[in-house]
Amino acid sequence: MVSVLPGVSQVEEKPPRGPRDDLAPLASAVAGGNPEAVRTFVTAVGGTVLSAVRMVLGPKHRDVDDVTQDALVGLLEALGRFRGECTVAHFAGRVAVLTAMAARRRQRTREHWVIPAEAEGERVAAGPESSPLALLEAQRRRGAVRQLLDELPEPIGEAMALRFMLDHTVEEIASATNVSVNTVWSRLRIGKQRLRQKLASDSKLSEALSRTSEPKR
Amino acid sequence: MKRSDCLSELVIRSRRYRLSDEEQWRLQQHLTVCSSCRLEQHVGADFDEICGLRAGDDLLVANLADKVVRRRLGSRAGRVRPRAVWMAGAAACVFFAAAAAAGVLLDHRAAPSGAPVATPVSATPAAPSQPHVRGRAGLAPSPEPSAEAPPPPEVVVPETRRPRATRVARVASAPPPQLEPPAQVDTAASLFASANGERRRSHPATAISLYQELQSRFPGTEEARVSHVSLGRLLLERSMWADGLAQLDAYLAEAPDGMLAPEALFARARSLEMLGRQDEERSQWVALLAKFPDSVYAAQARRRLEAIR
Repeated sequence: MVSVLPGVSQVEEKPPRGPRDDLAPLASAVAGGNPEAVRTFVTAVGGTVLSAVRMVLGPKHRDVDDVTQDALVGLLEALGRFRGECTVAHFAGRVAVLTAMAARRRQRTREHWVIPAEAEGERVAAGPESSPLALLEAQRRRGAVRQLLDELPEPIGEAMALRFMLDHTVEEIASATNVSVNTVWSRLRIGKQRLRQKLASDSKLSEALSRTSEPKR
Repeated sequence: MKRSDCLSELVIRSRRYRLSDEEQWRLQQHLTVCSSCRLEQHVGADFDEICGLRAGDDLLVANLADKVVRRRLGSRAGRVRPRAVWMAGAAACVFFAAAAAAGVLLDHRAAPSGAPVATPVSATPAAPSQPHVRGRAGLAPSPEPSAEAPPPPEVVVPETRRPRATRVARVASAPPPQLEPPAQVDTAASLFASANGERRRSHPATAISLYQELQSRFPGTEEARVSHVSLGRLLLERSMWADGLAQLDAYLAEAPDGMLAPEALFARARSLEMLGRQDEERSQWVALLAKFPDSVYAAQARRRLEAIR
């Protein structure tokens, strides 16, 4: 990956504090002001950022492109403060989640005052075992989680998004957000409690959850 | 959620990797009694179902990269430094003060002599050119001073400004140059950019020919190497299976751990799926998971492996 960019390997690297990270030299080059590294870096992490934004906003949300662009610009600016506590991909995921959550909040305010809410469409490839009802329930649960992110305090929402959408472990969330593992557990506990309450208010969703103990895959 | 006996981390692992039989059994047992983990497993799987990436996203990312780079360059070029603003302000103050002083002195000297003043100098913003030019006698044509008027006081101009004024004067007096458009020289980077542009504009045939030209004219360059993936995907989209797979193979042979290796493996697996070559497809997904277990395609690879098991 580093070989894409001539001279990147010459950038002085900090001693690794976390897990081995292939993107770290490239990120250092970007933070060090290497203009050639910027495009390579953006291309390398673009998929991760785009994917995280889609998870938070919804795959067919009209602002996915703009928010992804904002997240990438924010990521480039934040790289100067990145100290390698987590992998660059996790850092990028976190920036994307926070940017998308902020965009959701802005949109919510706008819709409250000006524009009526638009139905969020999703297109999911149906597997052989998926029934239309199961797909609909899954879509409603995703909607409930996204709505919850708007309502929760940002640190809790962030932890929930990193956990449920980007499947981060507790340690990964802790290192990405610079808090202790215990704090992450506590945030997740509160978030899951609120999620359970939210799903319980929808009888069909809570019923679907209670009857399922088998993994879906 | 109690940390001590909860297996929620195992839930996360089950979303990322294939668990061992023993772990799978433990998780199943746990899920029957722990509603918290059940919730996490269920909702997590809901999000795993919507793959965050889809076909054609590489173009979207490339497009976004262009915009981000432009925005970054634009913000740097457009950023005004506070020191520069201060310096410019100070220079302007000195300039206008000098102009005003020159005007006042000119009036003051001319009046006692009783001689008519042909060109009264004012301190309006239009005036500054006069003392400025006079301070550089011989460097620029004088703007028709009055013959009777006494010479104005010399405005001290810093030495460092002179070359700039000379250049300005020279440019002003020289006839406008006839600029010839520079001859277009193709480089690997420019060909690659053109091909990407054609691809984005949905002109696949042109893009294919440009990628092919890039590979034949600049073999061994980074652009040519990366183009194997772009061209491979384009060919596969046009159902040119053998050529498309050959392009992806070429990339994987040159850069087995390259930045686009997960994309190449993913595209290969999907193509083999379309062709119904299930054994090869399976081995491709396995290879993708083995080499890049954390890639964005991992969840899809696992799902597909489950389906064709």
